[in-house]
Amino acid sequence: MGVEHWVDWFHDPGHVFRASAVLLGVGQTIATLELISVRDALGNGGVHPWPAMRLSVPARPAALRWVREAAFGGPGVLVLLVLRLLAAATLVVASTEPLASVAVVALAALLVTFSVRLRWGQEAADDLSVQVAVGLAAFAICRWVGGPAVGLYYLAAVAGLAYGTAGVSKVVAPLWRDGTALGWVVNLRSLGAPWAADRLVERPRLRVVLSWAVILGEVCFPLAVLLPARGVVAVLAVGLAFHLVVAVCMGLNTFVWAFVATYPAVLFAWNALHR
Amino acid sequence: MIGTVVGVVTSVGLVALFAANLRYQFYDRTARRQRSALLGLRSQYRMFSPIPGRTDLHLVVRDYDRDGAPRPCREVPTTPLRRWTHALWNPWKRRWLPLRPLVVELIGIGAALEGHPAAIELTTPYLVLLGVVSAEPADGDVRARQFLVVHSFGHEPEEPPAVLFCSAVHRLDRTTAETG
Repeated sequence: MGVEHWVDWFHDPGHVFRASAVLLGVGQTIATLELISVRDALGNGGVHPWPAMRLSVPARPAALRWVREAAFGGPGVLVLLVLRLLAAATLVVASTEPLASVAVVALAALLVTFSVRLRWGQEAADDLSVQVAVGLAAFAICRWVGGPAVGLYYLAAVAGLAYGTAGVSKVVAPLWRDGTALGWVVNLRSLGAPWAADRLVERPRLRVVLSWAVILGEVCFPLAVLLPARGVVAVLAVGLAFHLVVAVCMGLNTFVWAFVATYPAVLFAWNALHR
Repeated sequence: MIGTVVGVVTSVGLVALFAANLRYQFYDRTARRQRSALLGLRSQYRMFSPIPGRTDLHLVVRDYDRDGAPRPCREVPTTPLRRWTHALWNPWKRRWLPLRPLVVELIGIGAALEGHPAAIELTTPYLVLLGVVSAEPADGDVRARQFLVVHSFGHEPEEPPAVLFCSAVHRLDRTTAETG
């Protein structure tokens, strides 16, 4: 199968929805299992204790407050986690589009709920997953009533925004341009890796080259839809490789799934522009 | 007809959400703190830029005996050393990722409460960190505990760690700190 033929497969919004939904589902299954495995962090003595966190949330009417307490307290949040796991796993294995549509709408609602509940400690992958779920949910709702595929264009736009912002904010930063920032990041115990630090800390030229590769890749990502088929596929392949390296070196495992879940929508946007 | 209406409403909603996210990318830390994240639907994607964190944060506990004598400091374990398996499964980051925003907010509030330092003990970040250290095991002679936030320069051994924040000494609640 040639590259053009493979890209053409993403001309069908149903295919794009299915591919994005599976990638989002895998990422969210992992993320939710991780949260379940450290569920004590959600209770007293953890980093997300509701009795302390409720002190800084906005006041709500009594009925809403009751719902919030029930959902965000000890047993309630565990129930929400189980529901989130069910929705994410359903996205991965759903054999029909209606089932995947119901699951993605439920997952979008649950991810927005968790964004409120986990005030600190949401990483960019969690934030992007919310956007992916919202975009796919919007697509699913429109599709039920015969509306347009705006949710998929939204996903492509959010991918461009995320990479573009990351790239522009690095290119204006002298610490990134001269490679210093990359050395700092890999040197951290929490986010770096000793083997990566050993290879980069003493090699300023390699740091500069790698920093500029990251900067150019991120800045130029939004322009990928203007390239020919081979070009856009190459950009996405480089993006995947970048996220895999980041996952190994920095332990940011869910970034891979969250960002790659937007790639089918990028190919959908490419098809809309070129066909 | 209904498809057109839903399509228009959804399109307007998504364009508004995208515009809100686009605008959000330009906010600095102060502006972000002052504005709501719209149920988590707005987020910033700067990814370690323009200035990434150079230091690791450590939560350190100091216990006090019944006679008030301090014991040696010890770190609350949060960050395991990097393994390649973290590329697939890394639940531990869910414990330490909140630490930095908690400390940043705590120090920001501390600066704003310059004339009333004791008031910081009533803030949410302080109470969260106090809860974390109070849940750490303690033996029967321990009567009080304080916590410190220390930052270190990653794998650079030549840079000494420094204390960023030091809490008050709190009586230990024996119902949360089990005998270890």
